[in-house]
Amino acid sequence: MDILFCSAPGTFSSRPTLAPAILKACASNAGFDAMAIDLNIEIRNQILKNPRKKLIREFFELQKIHEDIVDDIGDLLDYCADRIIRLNPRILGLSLLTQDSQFFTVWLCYHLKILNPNLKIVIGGSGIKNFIAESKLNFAELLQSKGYIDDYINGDGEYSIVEYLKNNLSHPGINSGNWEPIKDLNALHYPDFSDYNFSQYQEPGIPICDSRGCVRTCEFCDIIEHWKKYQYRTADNIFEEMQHQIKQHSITRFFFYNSLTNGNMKEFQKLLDLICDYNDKHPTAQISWDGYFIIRNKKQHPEEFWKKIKKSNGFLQLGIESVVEKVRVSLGKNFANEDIDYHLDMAKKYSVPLLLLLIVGYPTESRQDFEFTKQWFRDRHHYARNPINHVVFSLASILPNTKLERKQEEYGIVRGEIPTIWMTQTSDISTADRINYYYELNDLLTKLNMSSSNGGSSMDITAAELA
Amino acid sequence: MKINLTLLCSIIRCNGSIKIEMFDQTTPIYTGENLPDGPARIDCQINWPTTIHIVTSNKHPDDMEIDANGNILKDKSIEITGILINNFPIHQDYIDKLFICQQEGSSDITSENWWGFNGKIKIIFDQPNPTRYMLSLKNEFNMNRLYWNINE
Repeated sequence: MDILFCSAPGTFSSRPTLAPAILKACASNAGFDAMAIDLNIEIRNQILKNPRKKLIREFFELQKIHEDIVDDIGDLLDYCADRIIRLNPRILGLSLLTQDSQFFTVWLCYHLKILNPNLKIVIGGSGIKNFIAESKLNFAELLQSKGYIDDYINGDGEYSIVEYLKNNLSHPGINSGNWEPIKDLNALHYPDFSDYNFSQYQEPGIPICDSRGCVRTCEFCDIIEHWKKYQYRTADNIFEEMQHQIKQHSITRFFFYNSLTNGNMKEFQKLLDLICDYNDKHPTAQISWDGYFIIRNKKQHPEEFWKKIKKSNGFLQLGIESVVEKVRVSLGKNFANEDIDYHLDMAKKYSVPLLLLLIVGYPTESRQDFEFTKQWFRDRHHYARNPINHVVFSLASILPNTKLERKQEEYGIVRGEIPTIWMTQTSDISTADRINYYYELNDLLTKLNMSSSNGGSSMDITAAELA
Repeated sequence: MKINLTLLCSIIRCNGSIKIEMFDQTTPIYTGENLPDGPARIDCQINWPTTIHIVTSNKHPDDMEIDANGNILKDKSIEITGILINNFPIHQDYIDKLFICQQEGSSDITSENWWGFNGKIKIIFDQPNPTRYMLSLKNEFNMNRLYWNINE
């Protein structure tokens, strides 16, 4: 085998990772013998069964090696190494979705190079940097300088991995900070999931990348700094891929891995029509989907549109960020609170499940705003479970290379060691206060029968850093 | 399995340098007789798992000069300041604890990384592989994930 693509464990998502399947398709179509496995889910499932899972998570997030998990971590590394080496690839392509995979990747690459020094390792994905928009590549450069990896690919890997396999190391993105975004998403091969075992996933579904970048320019967001131009695939192209994957895997659930599904309303409406038509023709095996969704006003998302979302079995993830209108509009989400209420009403009427994403303690929020937010949820307790399926809170972060970072002087932000640790000169709200505020919100939502969680590892890392 | 072992050292010379001989079990892997003053690096390949035996010699009683207040004026020694196993550094805090030392003419066993004596030293690598060894030491790769330091 020329190359084995693996997701690096550490994302802890219960869903399939997309990158290995995309890269396999690129390599195979260029004539290389390739395979793709989702090691992330294999390791996640093993950890979930382990009574010491909390300590193991600490290893992934903080690299804390507790006495009780020394053997567990060794076993996980052995499992991954054995899985990879048995497949006997010439090259291992390890894809890191987020920085949460970095510690395990260090150990895994170290272990692999001991067991098989001839195995060439190339890493890629947004997780090879601490933050997607930052220019520094210290993690990848460090691993390369130590000899734990041979090469790294920065930025979109679809074309660069093929050039890498052809040994063209001067291609943009290979061992370099400069990379070229894909010019036409419609021209890419469909991801090849033929090596995936979909029975491993709690909720089997096929990931689809329908767009990159975003139509909005929210000041906290680093995605728009990485993919500066919004790119989308046509409805026909996406739907064709859906039909292809249904034929291959008999799975009709799709997860859009993107920043938003409804960035291009013309294509999105067309896609909904295609899915609705499919669902009419296949009443016992209907397509369902979920993806990020931006709130617009009633005129742009009329009731007819909601009927289609229902008929297409959509699950919407709404990036609300703040329920305080002035805060939200000023950070770049230009919709009114009445638009949120309209979406909640429509989603309830048509039983469209929603996941709400909120930032805890945005720099421009005050303690009064915290109280307003709590009251906002109390006033909407009747939306619990239907349509508000879940609420994800993330600690406000000042991410490198974002508009928010560039505006930190204007906001009087004084930053600490990590992006979640900061204060403003205009308020006395500390990071610890914001963490407490998160716990208050979490408790409140539990009382309101709304399910909630914190997004990613930032809460744990911040708490550990503060301790 | 073949593994690269690196010892980072600081050498202090006095009437020449201390002599150091290293053995992977019984196989000689390094001999240093006239080491230069200052920092040095010893790279050798070992067969894991193993015990590395080190013999220090060429230290003479007059190689150390002490003033009336007990301050060392001159000495001959080698200090191990770093251990890397396939480029994975062992944390500074662990280094002195890993060397089992016996000075010539003494039956005392000590753990130290500053060798200003003639004697025998050993370091035991008894885990199945270096990864398990590092885990058993609870040796983290780098403390701060946000500032991966390429010079570390």
